[in-house]
Amino acid sequence: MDFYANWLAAPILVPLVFAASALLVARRVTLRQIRVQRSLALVASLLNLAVALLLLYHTLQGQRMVLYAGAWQAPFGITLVADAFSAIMLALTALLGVAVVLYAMGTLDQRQGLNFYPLLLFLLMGVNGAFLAGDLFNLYVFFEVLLMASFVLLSLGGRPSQVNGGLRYVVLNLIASTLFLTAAGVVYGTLGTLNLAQLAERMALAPQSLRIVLAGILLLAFGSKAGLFPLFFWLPASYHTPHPAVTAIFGGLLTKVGIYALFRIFPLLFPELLSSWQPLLLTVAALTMLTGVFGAMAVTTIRRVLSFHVISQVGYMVMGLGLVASGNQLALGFGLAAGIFYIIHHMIVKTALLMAGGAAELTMGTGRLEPGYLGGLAKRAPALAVLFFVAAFSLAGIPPSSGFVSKLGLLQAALDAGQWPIAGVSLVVSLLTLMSMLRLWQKGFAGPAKSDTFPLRTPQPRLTLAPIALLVLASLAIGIFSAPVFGWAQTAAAQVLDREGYIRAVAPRADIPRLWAPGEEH
Amino acid sequence: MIALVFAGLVAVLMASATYLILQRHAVRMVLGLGLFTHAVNLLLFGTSVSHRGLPPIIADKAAFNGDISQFVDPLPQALILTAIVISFGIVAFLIALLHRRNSLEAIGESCTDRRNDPFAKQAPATLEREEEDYEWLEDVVLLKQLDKPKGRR
Repeated sequence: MDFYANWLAAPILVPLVFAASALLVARRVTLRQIRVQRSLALVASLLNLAVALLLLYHTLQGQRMVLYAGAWQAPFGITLVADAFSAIMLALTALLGVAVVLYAMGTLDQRQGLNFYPLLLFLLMGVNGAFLAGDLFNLYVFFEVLLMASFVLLSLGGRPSQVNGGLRYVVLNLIASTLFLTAAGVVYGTLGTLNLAQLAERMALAPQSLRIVLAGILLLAFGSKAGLFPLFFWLPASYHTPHPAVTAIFGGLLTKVGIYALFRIFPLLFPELLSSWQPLLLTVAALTMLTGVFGAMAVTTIRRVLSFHVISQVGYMVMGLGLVASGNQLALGFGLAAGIFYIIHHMIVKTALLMAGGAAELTMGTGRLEPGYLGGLAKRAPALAVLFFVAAFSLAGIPPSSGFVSKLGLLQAALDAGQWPIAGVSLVVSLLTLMSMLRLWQKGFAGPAKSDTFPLRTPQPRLTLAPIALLVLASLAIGIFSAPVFGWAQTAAAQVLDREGYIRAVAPRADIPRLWAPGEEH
Repeated sequence: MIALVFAGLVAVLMASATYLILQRHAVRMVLGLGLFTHAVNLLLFGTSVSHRGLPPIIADKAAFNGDISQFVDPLPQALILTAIVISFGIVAFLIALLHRRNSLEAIGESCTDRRNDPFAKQAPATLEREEEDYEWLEDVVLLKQLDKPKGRR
C-alpha cells in the first residue's frame, strides 16, 4: 500500500521534470532542439498515461490512496489523495495529453511551436495536481499553476486578438482565484484547518451562516472557472484565438477542473446544501446549457461554435451534481455517476471535435461558416470529414456513441428525481446541439470542393488525424461498452459521496485545536 | 478590537479594489487587481493575529506544554507568502500583456474587439468579419514563403 501510495507523486513530478528539462534543452532556437522538446513531451505524456492507468487500476477496486508528503501526518503536511474519481480524471487528462502532443506534432509549425511543449507539460502538471490535492490551499496552488501555463499558451504568438482575449481571461481568472483564496482564508480563520478530510469533520459544527457564505464563495470561484451561466463570458472571448492544439486541450480540460472541484468540494463539505440548493444548481445548469447552445447558433466560425458548446455541455455536468440529493427508484448517487460519465464522454469528444475543427481550418485556411469560405471538406479531406461526423454526432447524443449513453443516464436521473423542467431543457438543448452540428456539417463539409483561402497544408496530415481517430474510437468504445464504464463512474460517485470513508482514509489527527469552538459566540 | 480593525481594513481595500477594477482604464484595473489580492492577503494574515507581539516560533521548547496561546500560528504567513508570489506573477504577466497591446496599437493594430463590446460607441461596420481569428495562419504563410528560397538553395 505504501509503495503504491508513492506513485501519487508521479503525475505531478513526471510533467514537471520533463518540462524543466525541455526548457533547458531549448536554450537556442534551432530545429533540432525543438525536435528534442517534442520527443521529450511525447515520452512524458506516455509515462504520465502509464502512471495514470496504474492509479486507475488500483483505485477502481474501491480503495483510496493517500500520500503524506515528507511523511507529515494530515493535516500538517501536503496530502495527496486519489480515489476512483481523481484517477478517472487523471487518466482522461493523460489520454488528452498524449493526443494533443501528437496533434501538435502534426499541426504546429516547428518554428512557431517554441516552448509549446514545456508549457503543455506544466499545464498537465497543474491539472494533475488539482485532481490529487487533499487540501484547499494546494488545490488553489495547483489551480494557479495550470492557469499560469494556460495564460502563456493562450497568448503564444502575441497577435492582437490573442492579447485581447488573453486580457479578459487573465483578469477574470485572477478574480476567481482570489475569491477562492478568500474562501480558504475564511475557512482557516474559523475552522483552523485546510485539510479536506478534517474540514469534512468540522464543517458540520460550524454555524449555518458561515457554511452558506463559504459555499457561495466557492460556487462563484469554481463556477467562473468552469464557465457556469453568469460567469462564462471569458470563455468565448478567448478560446478561439490560439493555435488549434491549444484550443483543443483547453476545451477538453480546463473547465472540467472547475467541475471536478465542485464535484469534490460540495458533496464532501456541504452535503446538506446539495438538497437545499438543488433549485439553484439546476437553474444554473439549465441556463448554462441554453446560453451555450444559443451562443453557438449566433457565431460564425467553426471554433467559436465549438467553444460555445463547451459551455452548454458544462451545464449537463452541473445537472448531474444537482440531482445527487434526490432520487426514488435509482440508487443514491446515480445522478452524480451520470455526471461523471458525462465528463468522461465530454472530455474525449470535445477535444476530438476541436482538433477536427482546427484541422479543417488548417486545410482550408479559414474557419468561417459563410458562403465562399469553408465548404466541401468532405470531398477534399474525406478521412477528416468522417472523423468530424462521428465526433459531432457523439456530441449531439446519437447512439451508439458515448454521448447517447451519457445523456440517457442524466435524463433517467432527472426523471427519477421528478425534475421535469431540467429533463425537458436537456432534451431541447440536445436537439439544438444536433442542429448546430448539422449546420457545421452542411456549411463546412458538404457541398462541392473549394479552393482554399490560404495556400496551407498541415505539415503532417497523418499525425494530425491519428489523435482525432484515437479519441473518436475511444468515444465509440465508451458508447458500446458503456456498462463497465458506467460501473466505474458509479464506483467513483459512491466514493465521492462516502464522506466517512474519505475521512477514515486520510485519518487527520484529531488533537489539532480550532480557534472557533461549537456553541461559543464570536 | 484588533479583529474589527482588520475586518474594516479588508473591507475598505476590497471596496476600493472593486471600484478600480470596474474602471475602463487598464492601469486602474491592474491597480485594482493588486489591491484585491492584497486585501485577501490581509484577510489571511488576520487569521493569525489573535495574540499580538508573539513570534511564530516556540522560543523555549523545554517549557512548552502544548498551550498554543504562547505563539502565533505561522501557517497563515506561509500561505500569504505563496499567495503573494502567485498574484505577483499573474499581475506581472498582465502588465506584459498590456504592454504588448500598447505596442501593437502604436503600430496601428487595434486590439479592442468592438463586436463583443456592448459599450462600443458606434456599431461596427464589419459585424461579420472575424478574420482576426486566423491571424496565426498568416504567420504560417509567412514562414512557408520564407521556406521556399531556402529549399532551392
